[in-house]
Amino acid sequence: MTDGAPLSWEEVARTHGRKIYNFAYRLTGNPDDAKDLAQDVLLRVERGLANYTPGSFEGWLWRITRNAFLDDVRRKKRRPTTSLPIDLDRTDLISTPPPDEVLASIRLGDDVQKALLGLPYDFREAVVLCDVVGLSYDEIASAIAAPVGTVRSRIHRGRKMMREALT
Amino acid sequence: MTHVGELASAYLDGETTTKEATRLVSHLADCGACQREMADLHAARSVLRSLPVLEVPESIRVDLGLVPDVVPLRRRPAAWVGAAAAAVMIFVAVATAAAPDSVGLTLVEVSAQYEQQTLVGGGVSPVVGLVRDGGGE
Repeated sequence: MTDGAPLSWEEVARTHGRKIYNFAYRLTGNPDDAKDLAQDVLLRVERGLANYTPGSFEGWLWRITRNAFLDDVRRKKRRPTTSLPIDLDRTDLISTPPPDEVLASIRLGDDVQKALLGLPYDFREAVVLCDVVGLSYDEIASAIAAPVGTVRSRIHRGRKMMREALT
Repeated sequence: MTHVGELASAYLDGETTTKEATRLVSHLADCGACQREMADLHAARSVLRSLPVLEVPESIRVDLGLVPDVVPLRRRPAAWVGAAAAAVMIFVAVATAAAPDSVGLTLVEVSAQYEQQTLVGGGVSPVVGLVRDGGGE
């Protein structure tokens, strides 16, 4: 966790870019939307850094990320589009050619991704921030502007829904 | 104590107080239903945490100027093919016109001269594109 003044925008993008992209991918479920969202977030971060006041950098960063996602959802509600199915063969998302066991995990990952997309947004967001991004409950509370008790409840219920969806 | 409920997930994440953890462990020892719930939550948590980590697509980094996009200024393979062919033709012409012991230029020399002219004339040269000039607004 980085508290205090962040470094340059390039450093933020370099050190947090992968987390932002993974968050975006797990929330949207497709690489094109994830790419657009991650780009949007990084541009917002660039604009926002000038006004950033030292504090919980993680909370600040994930608030921006979350707002970008919610704005995107609102835009798409106005202009409804057909949501793309998850492409089982998008193995090009992985940086190196995967061996068999990795391919198996990708297919398993795809089932998990489908289950994630079936969760209501609040619960999907909570489990992704906790289990994919790796934030603490306090950091998630700061990111979603909710009490820690709410975070705890959403993570718990989100995991229960995941378990039910995967059995 | 009532069943563990949402305390179970918090416990798995190390997000309970010591008092809560003690209560939970004590309850789990006697409650089969909560043991099963704990196992289910643990499985869901593990599966989420084992999702593959995806790399940021290169195109994002290029679009944002985080990495230089090295591209040829102009792709003109035909020009190089032509240059090579021309070099051979010049060599053949020189070699044909002169006696074997008086050939002034070798193929390497002719090719080098031709190559130099081509580069000076703005042939294929890599340039670094999309370099961010400021970093701020």
